[in-house]
Amino acid sequence: MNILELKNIGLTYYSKNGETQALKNVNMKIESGEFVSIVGPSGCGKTTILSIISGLLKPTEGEVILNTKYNPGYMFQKDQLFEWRTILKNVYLGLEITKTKTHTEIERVQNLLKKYGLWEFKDKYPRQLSGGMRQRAALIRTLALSPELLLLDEAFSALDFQNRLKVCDDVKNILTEEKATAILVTHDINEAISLSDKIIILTSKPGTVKDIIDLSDLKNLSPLKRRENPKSSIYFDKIWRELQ
Amino acid sequence: MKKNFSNFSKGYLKYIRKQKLNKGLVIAIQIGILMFIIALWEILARLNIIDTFIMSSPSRILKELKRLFENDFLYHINVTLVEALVSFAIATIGGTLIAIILWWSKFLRKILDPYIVVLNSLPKIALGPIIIIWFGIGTTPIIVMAVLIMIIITVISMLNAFTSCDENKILLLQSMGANKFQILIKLILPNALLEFISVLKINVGLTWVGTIMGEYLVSRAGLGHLIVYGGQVFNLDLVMTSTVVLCILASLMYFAVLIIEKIIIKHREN
Repeated sequence: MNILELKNIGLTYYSKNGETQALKNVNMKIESGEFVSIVGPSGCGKTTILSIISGLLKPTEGEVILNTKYNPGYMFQKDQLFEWRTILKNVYLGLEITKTKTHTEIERVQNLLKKYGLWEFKDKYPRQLSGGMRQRAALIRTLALSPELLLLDEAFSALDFQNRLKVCDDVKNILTEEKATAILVTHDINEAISLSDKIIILTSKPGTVKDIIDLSDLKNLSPLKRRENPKSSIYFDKIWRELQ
Repeated sequence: MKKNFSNFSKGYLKYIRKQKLNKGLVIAIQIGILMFIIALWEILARLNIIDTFIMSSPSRILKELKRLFENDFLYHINVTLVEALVSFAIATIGGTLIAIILWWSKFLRKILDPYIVVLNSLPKIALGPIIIIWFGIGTTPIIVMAVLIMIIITVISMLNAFTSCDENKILLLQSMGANKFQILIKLILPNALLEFISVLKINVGLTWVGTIMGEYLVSRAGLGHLIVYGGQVFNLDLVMTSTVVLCILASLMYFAVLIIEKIIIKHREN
């Protein structure tokens, strides 16, 4: 089943200096349970696509068909944890906003923290946690609203390389476990290859889908294993050339 | 929680002792300087090296203090204190509310921007005559003066804190389906808490500036009134005494704000 379909999405920005076409004829179908990455030259409107999917931005043309019960969850480059809240209270944020902070929900969220090793840090403040831990807390905050679809906007770019590999692995495991669908926007081709079932390549402004690379032959490998797999470098070259 | 010192190394204990000693030394020197100045002042006055008619002296200030308290000094203190506290409250709360409204409406913010800039650069003391004519004599014009001095800077600082909130944090809340009021309550206000405390600290100083300036302009009572009156009749004992009391009051209020700061921060940590 398609969890998301974008049909001929176009977006034009208006500003004092005139209008800029950011996106043009963007079409994509995302199946439930897939991990999809969007790569493209900088300024091609990758983040804009996520904003459109999440409903924060209205496209000027086309249609977004979202087959989900809940709002898509959003994860940013920085974890955006609130410094004045403990990890537990940070994770409750979504429940407070949607006014669904019931006993069953609280228990479910607490179980997520236990399951993913953050329970003992629940009363700590974000500044007391490492970058990787913080990003994991941010992921659980996103999962607290049980989104079927997750939008990851350069979600790992702020971490140093060591941590990035670990957190990537971590996030992929958690997402697989929770059977969530994810769309990752990234400028890091290796990261995209190590995580995705499918990579969508965008052209530069106005952004449109140039090619879709299917990575299903790497399906059962973990991100770390994929990075070592020789096939990955073949994919890398292919994507690299398409981005030029 | 009590620290169990037996668990620490000798070096650490020595370090702690040194820190404590250092702190004690600083306080001792601070008190020493004050004592020295007072003693020097008194001695120079007794030896007639300085003219007590224009310089007063610590002993004369004490005498004057006793005389004032036997009269209506408490009334004057009370007037000034109430003026300062009321202005402080009005300007801080009012200014923050205005900043919230301006944060809420970007359109209004754009419209009012030049007005705020002009009002901020205007020396509020220039409005003195207008305030006297509009609000008469009494405590009202003084409070108006003090509020004017504080409120613009409060609005500007708080608005700056509100609008400088990380755009992605707002996006995060929006992606969860938050409305504007929820964004204000959950994010904008707590995010600006530290800025609010620093506004409190600025205002606690400015409120005395405003109140005393107001009393210089127009007043029948208050410490500022006593200082101006004392100046006019060349009663320097009265001027000095009122100034010392003013200094003590202002410090007490500042320390009160420091305590509030500690409580707020501690409350937030829990």
